[in-house]
Amino acid sequence: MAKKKLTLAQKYHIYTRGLDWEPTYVSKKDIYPYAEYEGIKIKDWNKWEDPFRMTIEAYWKYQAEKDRRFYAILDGFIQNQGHLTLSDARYLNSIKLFIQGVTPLEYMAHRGFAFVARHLPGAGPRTAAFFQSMDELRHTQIEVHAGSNFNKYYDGFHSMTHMHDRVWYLSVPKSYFDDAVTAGPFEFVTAISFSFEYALTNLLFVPFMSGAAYNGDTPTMTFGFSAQSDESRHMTLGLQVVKFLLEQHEDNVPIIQQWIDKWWWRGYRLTSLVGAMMDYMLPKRVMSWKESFELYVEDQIIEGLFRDLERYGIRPPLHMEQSIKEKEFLSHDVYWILFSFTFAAAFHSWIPTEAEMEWLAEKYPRTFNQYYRWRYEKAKEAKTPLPGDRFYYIGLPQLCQVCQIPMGFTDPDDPNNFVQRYTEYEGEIYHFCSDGCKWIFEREPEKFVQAWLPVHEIYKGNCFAEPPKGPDDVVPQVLRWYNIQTDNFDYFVSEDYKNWKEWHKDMATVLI
Amino acid sequence: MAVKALYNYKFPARDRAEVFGDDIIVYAYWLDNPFFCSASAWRVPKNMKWKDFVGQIFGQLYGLDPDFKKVKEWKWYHFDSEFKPDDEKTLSELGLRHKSIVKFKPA
Repeated sequence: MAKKKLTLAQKYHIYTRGLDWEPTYVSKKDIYPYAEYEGIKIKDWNKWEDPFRMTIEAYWKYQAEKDRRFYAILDGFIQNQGHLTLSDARYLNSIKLFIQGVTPLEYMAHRGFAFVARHLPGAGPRTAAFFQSMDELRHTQIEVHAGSNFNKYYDGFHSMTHMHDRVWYLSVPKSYFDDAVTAGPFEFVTAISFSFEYALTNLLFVPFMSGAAYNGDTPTMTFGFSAQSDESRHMTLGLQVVKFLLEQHEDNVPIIQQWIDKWWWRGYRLTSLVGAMMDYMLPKRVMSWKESFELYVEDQIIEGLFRDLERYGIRPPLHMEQSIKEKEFLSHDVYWILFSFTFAAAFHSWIPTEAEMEWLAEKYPRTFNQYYRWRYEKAKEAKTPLPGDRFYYIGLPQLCQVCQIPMGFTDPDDPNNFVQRYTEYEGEIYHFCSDGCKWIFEREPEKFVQAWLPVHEIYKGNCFAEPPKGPDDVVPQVLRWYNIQTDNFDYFVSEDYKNWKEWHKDMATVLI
Repeated sequence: MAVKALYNYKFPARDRAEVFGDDIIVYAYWLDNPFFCSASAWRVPKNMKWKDFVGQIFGQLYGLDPDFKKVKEWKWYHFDSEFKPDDEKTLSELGLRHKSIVKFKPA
């Protein structure tokens, strides 16, 4: 008799839970040592409902197909010298930020999900985490491949992993993920699968990828589509994890709530870099940070997701109100920081053109002309001895102990000043950019007192290629340690700009 | 609250005062002037004279602002309390400590 074909659900069950077993000579506790210390209580792992049913067999096929498409488009782009048809070379600075800041996080996500795939006692979520771990590794690879083509022609792409571990602004994404992977498996999945993948990933990927499409960067756009189809799987995992934990035991509710409070704010601070990219670094803009925040956070997350979670006893994250109040300031603050410190960064910045300032004023009628435009006028006057006819902040900034961003977030209630918070813990003082970061510190001070703050590390002498020969040699030795070569300073004095003009000298279409 | 961990989770603070020996980190912040995108950080000797500290931060950074030279006199704060530093006194004599912040604005 012919064997009956299995349904997808049966097949999936055999491929995943069917491979699990009850240990006989080792205790479950010894196999899963991280399962209990976070205080999460699971009554029945079998109540886990698989958010997607993808078998390994289907997974290979599906991902291989996407990779074929991606590499075909990348090859075409390379052979046709596609980089010459970008909107203009300023665009690539957003991709530099992405490759230096986000790509190494994809790799860390791969590691984090591998850890979860090993350490959660439930076979269902372990399998889902395993798929995600592979996804993240694949994302790292295709991003590196997409970036390696640009590395042949442009600065800032040559040393991403080295820079990620050392450079001041990259300590922001690095410390975010280090915080997550040093948490237990349940906090990790809540932090990354839920708070980041579910609540914030649209804010990162959609504007980035539409930005790539608008500015002629087909490899990044294709990578984006490829990754985004995984992201939707990651998002359903994130939501299922949180709902499952909430349903399992009422004692889990306050724990999950605190993780959501913490990781919402951490993720939101991290995505402020995206805000600067969207509003300032894309020559052809898609939408403003504020518009995207309203769409993805206010409409979809607060009005949608958190309404849905109300019945589990979950409320919107603490400090959400503050992020709403900041929406007309955030991107301007962050770009102004990046602009001020471009002498020590592996990307370029520039004074927005008049047309771009008009766009900013139109999108931010209550803030741009009032609080930001004058800074760029002044930056033309306040010259320094460094390359580029403009101001640089010749000094080191005070950093937030938690998010590690220079303390430059405007207080919406006092828009000529930045928020300044501090606390004392075991006789030492700690400073914060916001109530959100201060709250996070006070919840787990033992963790954040260990922060590797780039500014303090420079002052401790830990960031020099060789000991500086004098005060003028300090910054050059830090830059050598960072492996920043000709990647810094204003765009209009950069190799990128010089080359761009040279490559387009016979074309009438170069706008800038 | 405290970190939940499987073991005794206690590590010394990475940037504690003793790491900097006779120096301290002092932050400086020009109030009401967001041209400088954040407060600045300085590693300076505890017994540096106030006038030398001010000379350093104004000379290297704050003097870059074209409006700086219009200011004749400054009003100072240590954290949020107003204070009137004596030029000849040292930072520690003035009560500054590791990771103190001094704020200033035109008087």
